[in-house]
Amino acid sequence: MKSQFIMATQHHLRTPLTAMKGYVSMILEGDFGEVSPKTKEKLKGFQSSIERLINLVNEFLDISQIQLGKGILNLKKTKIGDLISEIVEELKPEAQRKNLYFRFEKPSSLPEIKADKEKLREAIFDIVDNAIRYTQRGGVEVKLNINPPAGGQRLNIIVKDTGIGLEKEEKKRLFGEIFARGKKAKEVYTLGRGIGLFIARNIIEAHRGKVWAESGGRNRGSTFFIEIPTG
Amino acid sequence: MPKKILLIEDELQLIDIYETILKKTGFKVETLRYGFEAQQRLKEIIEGKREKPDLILLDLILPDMNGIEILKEAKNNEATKEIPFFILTNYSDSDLEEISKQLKAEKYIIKTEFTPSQLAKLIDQWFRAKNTKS
Repeated sequence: MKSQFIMATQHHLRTPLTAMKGYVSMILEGDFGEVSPKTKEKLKGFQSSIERLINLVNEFLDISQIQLGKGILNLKKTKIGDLISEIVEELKPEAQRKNLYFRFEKPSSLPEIKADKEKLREAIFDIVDNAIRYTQRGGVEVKLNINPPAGGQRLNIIVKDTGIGLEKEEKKRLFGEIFARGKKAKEVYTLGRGIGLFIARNIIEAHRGKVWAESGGRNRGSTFFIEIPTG
Repeated sequence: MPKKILLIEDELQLIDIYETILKKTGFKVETLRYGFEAQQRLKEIIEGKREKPDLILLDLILPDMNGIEILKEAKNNEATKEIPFFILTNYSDSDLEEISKQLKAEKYIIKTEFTPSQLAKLIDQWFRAKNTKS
């Protein structure tokens, strides 16, 4: 019943969005005649709002599918070092814009892991993106290493920032609830929606991995740990 | 000769959008809005009364049936099984995507992920790639 409702809702929400996206892009591309530069500029703003709304609907859908146990992984051999390098490259301009240092360290050789590249990318991207978003001074370090405990290797991804930090109780619920955001994050920033970490945890757990956060407290930075088995 | 596309879609605004862009790209487009019309069309093709389209763009949520039924009917008949289908839907469901793949639909496209011109380009490129192969 819940499944049917969610599936019907996503369809009904996306249909008018498709029409909006379609008409706006056709108007901008001149399919219905010439458009003045001023109107074009405003339409681009409208277009970007539509894209945000589409992304939001997609995020809600991701959550629903995860909760319904339908988030099937498409597992393939993945070069995790390359995956994280791509994320770092993509986020570098934002760190530079905020005058933050942004470092990435990885061992010279890493095993390939079996992963759903797109989903895992989404999860790690959200964690690194959050670290930059909630850091105003200092910077962010991303480290990748292999931890070989008995019974199989595990890959560790550590994302350490000098940002707003987390209080003790925030650490516990940060990944557990949809819309859970740190208190300070709620006070100071409006961009985050608190959906990303919830999805990230579910994606990492679907890879038989773990994710957790440590922090020395308010304004003492945070460190996020992701652990994924390599085999 | 322009390629003939049969669009099976019930939403009027989307029909307007897709017909406009596909015609502009150089395709010949015909639209059916209901599942029973699509079934009737398949029957007419099987009986040799109508020409086969070069591609069918099939919405899954039609007012009177699920588009998968139409795909199944087409793929289960000798006369229509080679007609290529692109599923064009806003219904992202891994089960339906898998069924479409098993029924040999060429693509499963989520409408919101493409602007009309991106979709037209995708179709145009697919036809070009197909022509190169054959």
